[in-house]
Amino acid sequence: MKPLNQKQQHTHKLSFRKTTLLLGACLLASLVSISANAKQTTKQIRLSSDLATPVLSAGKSQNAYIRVALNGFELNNDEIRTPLNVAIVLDQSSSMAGQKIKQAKQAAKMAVNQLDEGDIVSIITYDSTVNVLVSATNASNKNALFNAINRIKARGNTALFAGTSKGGYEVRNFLSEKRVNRVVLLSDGMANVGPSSPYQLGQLGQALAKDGISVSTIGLGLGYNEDLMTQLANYSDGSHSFVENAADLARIFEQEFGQAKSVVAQDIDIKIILKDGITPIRIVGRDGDIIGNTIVTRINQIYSKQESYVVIEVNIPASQAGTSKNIANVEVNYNNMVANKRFELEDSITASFSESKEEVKEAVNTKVYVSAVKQLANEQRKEAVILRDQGKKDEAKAKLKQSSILLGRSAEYISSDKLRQESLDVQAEADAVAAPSAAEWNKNRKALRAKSYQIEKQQIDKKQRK
Amino acid sequence: MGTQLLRNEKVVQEHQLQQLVSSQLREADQIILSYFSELESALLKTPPFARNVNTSKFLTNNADAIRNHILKSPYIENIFILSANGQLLFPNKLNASRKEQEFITQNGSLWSTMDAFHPETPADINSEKQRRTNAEKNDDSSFSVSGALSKLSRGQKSEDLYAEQKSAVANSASLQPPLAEKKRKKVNTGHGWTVWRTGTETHIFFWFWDSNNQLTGLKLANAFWLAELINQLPDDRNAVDFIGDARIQLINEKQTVMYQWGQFEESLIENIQPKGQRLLGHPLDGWRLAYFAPNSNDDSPQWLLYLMFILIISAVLASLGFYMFREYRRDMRTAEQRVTFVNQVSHELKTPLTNICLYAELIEAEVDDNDGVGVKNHENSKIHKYSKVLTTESQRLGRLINNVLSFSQSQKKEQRIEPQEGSIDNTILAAVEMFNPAFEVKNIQIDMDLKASKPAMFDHNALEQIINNLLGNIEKYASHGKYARIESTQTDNTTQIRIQDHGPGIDKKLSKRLFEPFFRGNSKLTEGVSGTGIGLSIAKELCQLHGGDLIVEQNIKKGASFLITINTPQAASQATSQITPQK
Repeated sequence: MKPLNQKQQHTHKLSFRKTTLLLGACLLASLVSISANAKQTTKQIRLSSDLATPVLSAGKSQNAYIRVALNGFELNNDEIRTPLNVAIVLDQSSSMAGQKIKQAKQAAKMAVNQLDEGDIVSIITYDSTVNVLVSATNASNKNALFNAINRIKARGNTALFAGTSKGGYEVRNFLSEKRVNRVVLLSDGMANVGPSSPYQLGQLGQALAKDGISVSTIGLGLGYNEDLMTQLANYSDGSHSFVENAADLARIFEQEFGQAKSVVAQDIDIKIILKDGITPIRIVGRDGDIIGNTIVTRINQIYSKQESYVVIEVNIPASQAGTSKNIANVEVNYNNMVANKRFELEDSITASFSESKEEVKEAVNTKVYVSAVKQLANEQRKEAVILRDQGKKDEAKAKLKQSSILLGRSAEYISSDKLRQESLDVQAEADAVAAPSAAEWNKNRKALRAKSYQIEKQQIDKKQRK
Repeated sequence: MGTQLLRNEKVVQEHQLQQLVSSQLREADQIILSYFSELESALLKTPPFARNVNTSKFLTNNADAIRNHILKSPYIENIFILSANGQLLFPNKLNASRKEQEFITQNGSLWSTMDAFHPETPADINSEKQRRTNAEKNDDSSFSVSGALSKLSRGQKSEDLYAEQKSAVANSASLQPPLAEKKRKKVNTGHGWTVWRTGTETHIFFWFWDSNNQLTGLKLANAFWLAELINQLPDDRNAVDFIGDARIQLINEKQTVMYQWGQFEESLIENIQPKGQRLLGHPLDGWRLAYFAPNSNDDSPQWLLYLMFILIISAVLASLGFYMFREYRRDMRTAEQRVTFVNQVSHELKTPLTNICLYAELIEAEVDDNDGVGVKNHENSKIHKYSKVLTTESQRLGRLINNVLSFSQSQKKEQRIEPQEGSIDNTILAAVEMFNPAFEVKNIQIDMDLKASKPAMFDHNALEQIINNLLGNIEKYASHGKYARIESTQTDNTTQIRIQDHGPGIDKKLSKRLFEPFFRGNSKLTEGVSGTGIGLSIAKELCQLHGGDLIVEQNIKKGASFLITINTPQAASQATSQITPQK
């Protein structure tokens, strides 16, 4: 049992466990970074907070959308990347037998191969029970890791909760703010031993997130519970992928580990304080809390050259034309993984009011507008899935059709190709949600849930980007 | 005796197994207990948010600290703080976040009365102790699942009405009787767990009173303590060291398996019962540990022993059987060889025998002719007598030879019957006539009731042989009865002939094997009487060839009774002419 302030404890524990060589390397690295800091200003993530419509119609109370975006800075090749502390948790239940387990083992080996000496890795498998194949260790002896992976055989049931627990435990043994602490979970089936509801797994994900551990989930085939897998990843902003074909596992693992290696900021607390009678309505598509006029939320990590954002819907009371207003102050507190130091960033948002519709339209911040509309459409996507779950096939389809029309109108309003494409995509989804057969819906549902999760988290699938 | 020994050993082993199961369950329970006691001391180190501050100051300064604590502690989902007079200090209704407002709505009833957050009254403690001892007892006697279930369902009834509230006190010092007085003075002390069940959800609170008489309640993240508990319990790495090839399941109050360890895949066996169970204490009310293991008589050395015992017995039996079979075969072979030999020589014997018969008859005819030619009468009668013996004995020899030849034919599947027109009764009479001399000698009275005189198609020789064999047996084995009876009946196509005697009869057990070749009812009956052992076998076979059968009739009051049934179609020419008896 660890006391509550375990983060420090783990740091101490780590330094004891490390070989002198590693300790030396670490000292050297920190010396280098200190001297680098002295020479040049530390690279910071970029905070940009904007209204989708910075010029608002005067004389009426209206809802508006704020976007707080964080951009990860670029990592130079000569810079020491953040070391990983990762647990690979693999489903070896009997349903994995055959091609699936073969590909999963291959993918796990590829992932291990991407690791460097400074990284820490553990390998956990679960079926009816859990096995810690390799407890958290330095990734230097890759042959030992490969041999362990080779021993994996499919059998039994799916103790997903326990597998994730042990993965979390292994990561916690080397938990450090200076590492990317992550559990990568692969499953192809329903959790049927131990807690199995999306709520329970979500709670576990949340607890791990509080400790600074993110969970990424990979759903393989058509047998897993996509709600459970997305909930588990949700609180820690881990990634979630739907891999229909086991042959794609290697690519997904590569992507996952490549991303983990590119983390530049972690544990980002965001506080948005609304001003002057402006009231919060909701945080669109992200967990957080609202206290009075203050919105608090967090993002677990930001990757190099990637943008993460939060969209907030607020109500702005009527204002006179020609005036401008401070809408909100934004405070961000984050852990800079290159500087190994926490930093605070601040920004504020202002709006002006006009009676001219042209002026309002002219001033639209296209990028922010697109983000907001995308998130709103995504909410409708989630609602459509719920309707379809309730058997309301037609209503679900109508919901997405409506969403497609809204996207189309917004696309025309700001003449955005991105939104036009999105509108077409949603039209196709309207047919997908109305899939006649249960089997087809099962597959479509996984794709839809994965997509809405990825939009929520601004997760980038390299295949999609290409 | 071997099974008895095994059974005794099994009882001993069963007992040892129960001991083992109990101790392994206790060991697992110990891990759980120590986890919760460590969790308790960790939670007691929660920063003193509310201590030494007055209410108004608390509102402004401490809320953020508490929120931050909730945000960073994986164990805690929510916190509430009540002042000494029961006022909710945190979350404050006026200043609550949206999630805190939800928390207040969901849990308000819990802290509206403070009953859930006091050490139990002495009476309650007793009942708690009672429960624990019950659990211990149950564990040792390996209670059944249904017992645990009924216990649980009783608990669940009260949940529906209002949340089930139970609390236990870790600080045993405060458990003494003065506690009740303390309570009355409104001095609250101690810390404890409260398990609160609403609908389908179970909330676990850890609470403590501080020196300012303020109550801090921590709502735990169930998933997290469960994950931590799982991390303390064995997994595949060390499960074998803990419990061998068994399995232990941690089962919650809803009968869901929350975690399990051990190799034994109990789900593969239908309706498997745990070998032992253990109820868990606070705050895991209604939870239990269940121990599963393969059945000892499936897979243990004593089972092997039993198998070996059976194997040895069956091996002994098999070799004994083989020995007996070989002996039997040897007897059979000897008899067969005897018949084969006789068969070979009988052809050679038949020619001289025919000559003997012929000349014996010639002598008799000669003597009859000489009756009036002056030879002394008593001389004649002497010659008569001698020649008759000569004839009878050579006829007997002829029958014996016929039997042997028939048998060898039947063995070669060469035997055939050749039906000819004739009267059955005449054939019977002819056969009986041949036995008359022998029966006279042995003083056997022969009684006949013949009603089968209509001409029919049948094989005279075969029927004669059948009757000969049966009468021969009477002569050999039933002469003491001094009585034989022959009945014949005839329907359109079938003739039945019953041949009875008043001899010793035939043992029921032997009657089945009576018709096997070379079987001689191995008893006193056949002792000292020579025989080939093929007579009845041939007779039966001939009957069967004749579309009928030969059977021994059961339930006969005296002696033996054989029933011949043969197929005898009516002769085409309804000739009624009497066929002269065969000489």
